[in-house]
Amino acid sequence: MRIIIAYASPFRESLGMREETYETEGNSVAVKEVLDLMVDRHSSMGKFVDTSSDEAQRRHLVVAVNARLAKLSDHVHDGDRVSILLPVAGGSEE
Amino acid sequence: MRVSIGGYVGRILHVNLSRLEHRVEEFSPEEARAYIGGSGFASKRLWEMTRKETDPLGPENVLIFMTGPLTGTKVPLSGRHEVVAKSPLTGIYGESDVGGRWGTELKKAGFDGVIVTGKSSKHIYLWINESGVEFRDAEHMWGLDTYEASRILRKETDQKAIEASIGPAGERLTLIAGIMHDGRDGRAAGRCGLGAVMGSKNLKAIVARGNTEVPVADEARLMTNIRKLGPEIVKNTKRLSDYGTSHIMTTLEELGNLPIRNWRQGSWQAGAEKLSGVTLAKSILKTKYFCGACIVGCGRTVAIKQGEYAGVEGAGPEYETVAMLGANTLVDDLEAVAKAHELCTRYGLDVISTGAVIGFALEAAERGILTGDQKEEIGLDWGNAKSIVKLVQKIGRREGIGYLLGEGVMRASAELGSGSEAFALHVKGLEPPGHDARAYNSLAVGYATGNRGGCHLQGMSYAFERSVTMPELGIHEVQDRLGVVKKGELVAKTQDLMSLFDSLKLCKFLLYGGVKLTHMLEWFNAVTGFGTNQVDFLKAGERIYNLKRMYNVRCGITRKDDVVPMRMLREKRGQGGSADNLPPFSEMLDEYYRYRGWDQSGVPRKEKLQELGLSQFVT
Repeated sequence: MRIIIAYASPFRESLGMREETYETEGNSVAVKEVLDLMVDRHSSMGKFVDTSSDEAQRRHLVVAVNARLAKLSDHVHDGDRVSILLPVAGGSEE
Repeated sequence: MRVSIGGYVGRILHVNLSRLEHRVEEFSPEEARAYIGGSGFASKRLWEMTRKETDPLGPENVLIFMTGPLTGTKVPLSGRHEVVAKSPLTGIYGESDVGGRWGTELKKAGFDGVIVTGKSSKHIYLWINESGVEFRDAEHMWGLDTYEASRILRKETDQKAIEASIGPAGERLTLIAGIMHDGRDGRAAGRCGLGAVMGSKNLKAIVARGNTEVPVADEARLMTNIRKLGPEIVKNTKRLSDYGTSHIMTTLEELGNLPIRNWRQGSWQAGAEKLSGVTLAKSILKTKYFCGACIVGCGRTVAIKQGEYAGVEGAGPEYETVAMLGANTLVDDLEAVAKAHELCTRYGLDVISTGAVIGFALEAAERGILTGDQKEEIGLDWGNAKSIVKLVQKIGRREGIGYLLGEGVMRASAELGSGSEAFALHVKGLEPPGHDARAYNSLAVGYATGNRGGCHLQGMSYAFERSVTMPELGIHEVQDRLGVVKKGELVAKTQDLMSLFDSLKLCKFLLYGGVKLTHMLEWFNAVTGFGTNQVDFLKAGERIYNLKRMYNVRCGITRKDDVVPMRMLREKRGQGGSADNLPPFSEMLDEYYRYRGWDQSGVPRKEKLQELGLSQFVT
């Protein structure tokens, strides 16, 4: 199966790409495993991955599958777009 | 009765500009427990001191600056205060939360707050310090921008003093004018047109300086907590610190949250990247800015050394600036947006409303509604950075088409007609900030029921639909941003929570630092010496939110006004991370009213008011 992983800033800048394609065996793969695949390819992302719990992971980055926020146990399927996003929101002192 | 408890000075300064007199109000510990401070104190006094008939720009309106019990203490991110008045932009409850150092200085000068009434016969400023209060002539600085005024004010008072001031926009009663603080550091009480209220009183500035430490009931208990929690907050907000509030730009673009082309477009990947906090850090960032007691430093101080916008130096663009003056107008030139931000700070304009009204004007021009001289005046065109900068100047000076646009999108569309109301996005007259309700369903209810109109900070429910939890409120897991179930309950709970932030005077970014309700209560009790429990603490937040609602009910607000801009309810964008989502609004609003204990016309029920001790606040 083939999935796309898209990176928000500042991951985008540090990896030098907006998105890339991953190919893996089977019909689906858990988000947790997608993060492992990502770290396998980009060891620099390892420090942002803590799959001990959803809450622990959200402190570093948030994962969305087809723009829907996902848990580590959620599954990704062929053709899905996985976004690696920041957990903190915008806003200002208005 | 003057309070002798921690966290409060126990004195609120009342200034009558018509008579050039002042007096001091003292308040009771009971009031402090029930209304906390900041937004709670201010909303209670706004109710008591104004009427339904009060003209927001008349001498009978009041302008309230109020700190909270945590302002000026060592509690992290507590250097804030609230500015409150009846809003000339919306005609209802108006407030704006602001950081910087002014609130801390005011408190150290000996006052929890300042309430300004009346109208001076000439242009003046107030100088407040531990020696007293002075009315000073401001004729020589009327017309100056806030940077220039700051330089003169500090020279005339104390170089370490901090001022809250208006620029030309507020002086000329532009309805989207804000009150700027801290000079070149540019901390804005931007929303609701409060700068025009200050201008209507012929008050250029309030300058404050003090040295007296804010009393804390249990310093050791407080410091133990801060030493434990502080490093966690710093660790959890590192990206906010490294890249500022606009670090989130590409994430929000990916989710379909970003306002693009007057809220019409769902995706703008390259543009978002050019305006992001990472790009800013690599290009024009000079240093970080920290508000009083801040340990994060999300503020950006920028400097542009060369090129078209050389000379820009001072407060840099926030997320809201790059969203509203950038993405919403399709301008992807970060330096131009930084220039527009500086102009907003100098003139004293709200960056959100300014970006919104420019986006509205661009669409009006595209649709042939703005024509002839109005269109040609500045060459309105999407993505035209130069014309956007020029337009900000016109709004700030209230010149030409800038006069109309400075009235905000509601009035501008009413003037232009021709169907422009359909793309004039506002709630109760206040333009929403750079967060799209099509990306977070709860935001639709939040916008509709925000006491000051279209505002994300009155509830911040969307934060709980991305990464934040709050077990004390029963929010154990991150909520589904496109779900429907119990969204009304989520919004009500988070609005009450935000009322506490606004009354204690804490920065809401503490949520991202991992701070929970339990920590807030611990700080409140350690500072004040109260033994408030969690139930009463939350009840205070609910009380304050309902009091503001009752103010608006008195102004005539009902369900018919609790609306969301139609574009966010009916127009799918067809691309991006929320391409096909439209929030199911009515269903969520019904549930919100039920959870609140309001009737289906949006009025708090008698029993609810009794429960909250608000029975006297009825229309």
